[in-house]
Amino acid sequence: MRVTMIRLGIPILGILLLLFLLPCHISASDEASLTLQIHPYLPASELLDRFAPLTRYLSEKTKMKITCNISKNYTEHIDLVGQNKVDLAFMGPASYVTMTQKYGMKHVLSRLEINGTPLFQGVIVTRKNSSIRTLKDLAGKSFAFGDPNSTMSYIVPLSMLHEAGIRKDALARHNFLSSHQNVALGVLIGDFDAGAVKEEVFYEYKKRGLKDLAWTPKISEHVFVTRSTLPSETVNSLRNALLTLTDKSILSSIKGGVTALVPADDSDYDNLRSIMVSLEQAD
Amino acid sequence: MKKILHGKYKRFILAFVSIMLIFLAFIISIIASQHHEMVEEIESDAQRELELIGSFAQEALLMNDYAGVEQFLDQWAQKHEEILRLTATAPNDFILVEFNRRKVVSSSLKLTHHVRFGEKELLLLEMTKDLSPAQKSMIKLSIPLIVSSVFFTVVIGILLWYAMRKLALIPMEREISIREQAERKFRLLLESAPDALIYADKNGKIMMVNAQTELLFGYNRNELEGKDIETLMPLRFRGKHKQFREKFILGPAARPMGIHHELYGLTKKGREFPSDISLSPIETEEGLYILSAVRDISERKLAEEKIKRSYNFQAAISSILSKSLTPADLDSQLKSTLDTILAIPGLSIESMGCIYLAENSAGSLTMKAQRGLPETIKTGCSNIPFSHCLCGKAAESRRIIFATCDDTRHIVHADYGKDFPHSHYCVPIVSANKTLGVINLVVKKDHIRSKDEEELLTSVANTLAGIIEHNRTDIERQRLQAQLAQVEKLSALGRFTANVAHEIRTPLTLIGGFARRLDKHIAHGTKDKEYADIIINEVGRLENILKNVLTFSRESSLKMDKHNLSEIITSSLKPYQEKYRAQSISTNLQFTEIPDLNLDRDQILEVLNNILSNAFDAMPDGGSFTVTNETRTVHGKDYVIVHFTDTGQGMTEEQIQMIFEPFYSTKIIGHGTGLGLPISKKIMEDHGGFITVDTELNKGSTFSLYFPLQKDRNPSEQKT
Repeated sequence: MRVTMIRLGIPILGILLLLFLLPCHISASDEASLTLQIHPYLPASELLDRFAPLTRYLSEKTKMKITCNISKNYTEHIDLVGQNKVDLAFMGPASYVTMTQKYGMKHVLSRLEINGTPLFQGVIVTRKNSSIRTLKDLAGKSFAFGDPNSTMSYIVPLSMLHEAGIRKDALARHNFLSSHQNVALGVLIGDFDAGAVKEEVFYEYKKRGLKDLAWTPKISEHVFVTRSTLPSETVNSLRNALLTLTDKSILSSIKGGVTALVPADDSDYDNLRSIMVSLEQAD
Repeated sequence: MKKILHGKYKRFILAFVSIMLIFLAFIISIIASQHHEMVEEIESDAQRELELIGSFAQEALLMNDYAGVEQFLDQWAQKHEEILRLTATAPNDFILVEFNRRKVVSSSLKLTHHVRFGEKELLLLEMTKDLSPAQKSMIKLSIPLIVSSVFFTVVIGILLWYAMRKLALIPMEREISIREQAERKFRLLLESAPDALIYADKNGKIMMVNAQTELLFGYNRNELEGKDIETLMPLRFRGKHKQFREKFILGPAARPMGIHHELYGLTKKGREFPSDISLSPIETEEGLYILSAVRDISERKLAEEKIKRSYNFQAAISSILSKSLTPADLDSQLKSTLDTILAIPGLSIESMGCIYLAENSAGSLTMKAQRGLPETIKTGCSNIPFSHCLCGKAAESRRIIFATCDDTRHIVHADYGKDFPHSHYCVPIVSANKTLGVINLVVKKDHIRSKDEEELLTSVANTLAGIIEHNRTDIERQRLQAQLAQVEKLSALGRFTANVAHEIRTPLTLIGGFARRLDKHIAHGTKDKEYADIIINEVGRLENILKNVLTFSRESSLKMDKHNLSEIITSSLKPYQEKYRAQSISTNLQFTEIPDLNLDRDQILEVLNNILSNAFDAMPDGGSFTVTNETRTVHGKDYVIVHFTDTGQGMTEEQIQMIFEPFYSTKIIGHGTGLGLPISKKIMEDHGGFITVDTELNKGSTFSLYFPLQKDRNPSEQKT
């Protein structure tokens, strides 16, 4: 009995310790400090590492203490940002659209520019030796999606399937594999006949046997926003800091291939917004 | 010592070391099997690891977490250094994970695992693991194990060895050492013995011999060991010896062998030798053994014989010497000596032999005594010149000759018959480098000459030489005594004669003077005149005799001067030439040039007158008279010798003895004084020379005058 208690006690103690040590944990808000909330598109530890240089940069630039935090999931992230619970946030395009639809507008600071473009695409992929030639051939086939909140692994590709006249129930089966890599590998390994991934993942796995079946429209990149209640001088200061960031190491740390942080506007996400609206309507 | 022991225990040590090695091998095989088990363990661990990975992959795959599988496998492979290759292949041959580590390894392990879910094949996992670290660690583990087991084995071995040595080997070594020492001592004793020692069993089989045996019998010990003891004795003794041996075994006791027999040994080369043998029975655990000590007594026998022979010879010499003391003539002494020599045991056969004496300077031997010789020898060998036949050669060489009768030097053979083979000992009798004679002994043909025998014979000969010399000296002494008596007599007579002559001379001169005075007054043709003439002539003759007598008897003085002798001779011949011619005597002067000599011319003329007068008288019927000369060394002195040879009547031995005696004359009374040759002899002796005569009856005589050759000396008056 006692042994069982100890066995249970050790992980609990571990978790408590971890929470205590987390540098970006939510703490009592301070006038001189800001929180940077990151949406969980990668494991939390990796994201912390990636955003640490930027956090330091912003702190130095804005003379404010900025702490970085990772949301547990897409929904929480949308809710935290939408409810102005965080000062500064880095969001995926779909999350941003969902968040604006649900909670209204926020201050848009900048978006990522990857390899010289602030836009990115998704690809519906299949295996090289697959008999599937068009989207219509997907009827009766299995399909792999990433995360239901993911722009390029679910929302946009689903709308494209819809456009091709294939609804989810026309598929033999579909699964959410939570990550783009899983989608690519699930297709390659033969568990799924097709899947949806963002372009960089497609390129990553292309040489291993992936074939592009269809490309999504170009969608604006990930975006930095602030809560709508943040003083405008702070907003400007942050925007200015982001837009003037030229340090390649900080940029590439956020994501490979980031060349700059460029100005963004809510209208940049309209095409995505319309896609998502049409999907909602379809449901 | 240790080496020997180690040598002895070689087999033991080998067995011990073998056991220890087997023990070590056993330990090592255990380690090896452990090693094998560990490898199997590692393999099954790796398999379990792969299965574990597989179960994770299965779970993740079922959750469609492909990236998770990929990442996990990759990270797993990265983290685990021992994984050289890890692949995960989907059923559609898609390679989900392929990890390769660039590493060269000595050994590796390849494992596969099929990840299934129900009947569905999900993934094929293939993993290659590096076994070298495991093996290294195993080796690392094994090395100390092996080292410690070797160490352990060695320590155990050493401890066991020491324990064994203490408990078993050391006492055994000690025992062996004592035995070896005893054996060595025995060997040493055996080897150092001066006698040949033969160790044989009761059946007469030789078991062991010593070095002396090898030396004495000439066999190698390997040749002897195992052979019958009878091998070492002459054939004729072998049968009997076996019987004696069997008897000895019945009552074995240490004793000398063959008490009443002469014992002989036989060498490998077949030489027999007299020996002393003593026997000692030795009782051992294996039975009775007999130790025989054999000693070669040849030398002792020889020495005994030598002593015996020496004694015999000494006895003979002693007998000869004692006989020599008894007054007897030489011939009978020689006979008696020969008998004594022939009686020496073991020397002569049939008492045969003879003694020769060298009688004259011509160098020939005359048999003086003989025993047992056949007539042929007695006559044929009565006179032998030097260097002729064996005796002549012995006389000449002055060395003992030993020769068989068929020796080529042997010339005069006696008819002994066929069955009389013999040898000769010809022993020269030598005194002062002069051969006095030879002893000839007939000995057995197979008689072995020996040095000591020859030495003994030489001493007999020397003894005989002493006797001969003594005898001859005695005769000479007697002769000299007689001569001395004569000289003394003559001397007295001379003095008496001189006195008488002196006394007579004056009245005789008066008589002569008065007679001549009266003669002048007596008329010729009368009887008185005839008588007076007779008186004058006789007085003249008497005066002449008186002069000669005085010359002979008084001490004369010489008037020495350098003279040419040939001139003196020539001038002395002149008055005789007419007379010689009238008597048909031819004169023949053949002398060569003679150097000038110191001499008294008148005296020498008188000598020559005497010789010429005698020659004339010796050749009444004519003949020839030859004068020759030579220069010769006699007794180390150089002489000019003038020989006067006539072909007259010669002289008898008796006459020769007398001619130099005064008043001895062969002439008719009134023709000579009998003092001519004595005076000549005296004159020659006064000149430091001498006169000799060599004559043969009816053939002639040669008178030789010996003048000392004086080189480069000034003439001076010499008193003699």
